[in-house]
Amino acid sequence: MSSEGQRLARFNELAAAYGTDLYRYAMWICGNDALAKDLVQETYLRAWKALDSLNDQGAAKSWLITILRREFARTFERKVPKFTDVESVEVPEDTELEPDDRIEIQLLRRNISKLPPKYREPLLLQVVMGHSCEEIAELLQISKSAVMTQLFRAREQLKERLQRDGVTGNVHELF
Amino acid sequence: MSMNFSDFIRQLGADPSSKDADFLRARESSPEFAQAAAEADRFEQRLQRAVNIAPPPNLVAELQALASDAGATGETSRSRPRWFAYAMAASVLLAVVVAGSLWRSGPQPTSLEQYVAMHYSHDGERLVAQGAGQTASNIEAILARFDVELTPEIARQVGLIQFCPTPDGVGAHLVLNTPDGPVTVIFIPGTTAKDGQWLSLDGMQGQFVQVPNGTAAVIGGNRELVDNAHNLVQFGFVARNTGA
Repeated sequence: MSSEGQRLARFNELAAAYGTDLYRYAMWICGNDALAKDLVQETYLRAWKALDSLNDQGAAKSWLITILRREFARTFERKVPKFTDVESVEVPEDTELEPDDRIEIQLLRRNISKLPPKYREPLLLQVVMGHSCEEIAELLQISKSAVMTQLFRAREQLKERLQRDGVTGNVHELF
Repeated sequence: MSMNFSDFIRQLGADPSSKDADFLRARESSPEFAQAAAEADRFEQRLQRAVNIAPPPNLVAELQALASDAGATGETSRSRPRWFAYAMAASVLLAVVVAGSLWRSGPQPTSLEQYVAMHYSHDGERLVAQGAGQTASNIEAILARFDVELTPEIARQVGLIQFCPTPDGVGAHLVLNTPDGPVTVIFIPGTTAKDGQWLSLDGMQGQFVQVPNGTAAVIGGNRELVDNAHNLVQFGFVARNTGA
C-alpha cells in the first residue's frame, strides 16, 4: 500500500473508532445537532491535516478530543469551552425503551444538561469518551484528585436530582 | 490494606469502572460493599443509556469521505455553510433572551438613556477589550433579525457584534475599531430618540443616532471620537435589502 493509502487507512480507522463518540460529546457540549456535526467534521479535517504529527495511535482519542474542544472554543472565541445555556439537550427519541425507562432517561438527560460545567465536562469525558481520570486531568489541566472530586459530585448531584424528581429506585441511600 | 466503606463509596462515585486492585477486592468484601457496587452499576447503566445519543446516519462514512475530499481539493479547513452563521446566531440569541431575563430582573431603566448607561456599565468595557483587533464575521446573521445591514465602510471596522438584552427584547452590541479608537454601538430596535442627544455616562461620552428600524447609542472615550462615529453610524446602518 502506498504511503498515502496507509495515511488514508489510518484516518478511516480514526473515523470509525471515535467518530460516533466525538459526535455524542459534541452534542452534549453544544446542544445543537447541526453544530455538533460541524464540530466533528472540522475536527476530522484538522486531524487529517495533522495526522502525521500523531505518533502514538494510543493517544488518538485524547488528541481528537483536544482538537474538538479547541475548535469549539474557537467557534465561541473563548479560551475555555462554554457549555450551552440551553436547559435541555434535544435528543432523538429512543423508541426501543419502555415508557418508564424513557421518562427516567429524559430526566437524567435534563439533569446532566443542568449540571455545572465543571462537573459535567469530566463526567462526559468519562462516560461518553471513556477517558480515565488521568486522561481527564491532562485534558482539563487539573489534578487527578480534582477530577475525582468533580466526578463524584457530578454523580451525587444527578442522584439527588433524580430523587427529587421521584426516581428513587436503586439510588443508594448514602447519596 | 483494605479499603474502608467511605473511601469505597467515593471511588464508586468517581470511577466505578476502576481496575484498581484494592477497589476490585473491596467490591466483594462484604454484602454491604457488594450491594453498593451493584447499585452503582445499575446507575452507570442508566447513565450510559442517557448519554447515548443516536448519531446521524452515515456519520462515519461522511467523516471518511472528508479525507478524500480534502485530498482532492487541498482543503484543510471547511468553509462553513451560510446556514451555520444563522444557526449560531439563533443559538446565541436564545442565550441572550435567557440572560436578558435575568439581567432585567434587576433594577429597571426608566428611559432609553438610563438603559444605555446601565448596559454599558454592565459589560461595555469588557466587550471593547474583547473586540479589540478582531474582525467580526457574523454581522449579517445578527443584524438580519432587525432587517438592517451595514455598509462595507462600517462593516470592516466591526471587531465584535453580539445580541444584547434591551428593555423590550433583544438588540445588538457592536464594537468598532475605528482609526481614532474603539467605539461601542448599541442598537436598540423599534425605538426612537433625539438624534444627536448627548448621553450622561460614567467616564464616557455617548450620543444617540437615529438609524433605520431603531436607535443606535454611540459610545466612546471622548466627544471627538463619538462625533466622528456619529456620521459613520448614521450612514452605515441601512435598511436590509431583502429582495422582496
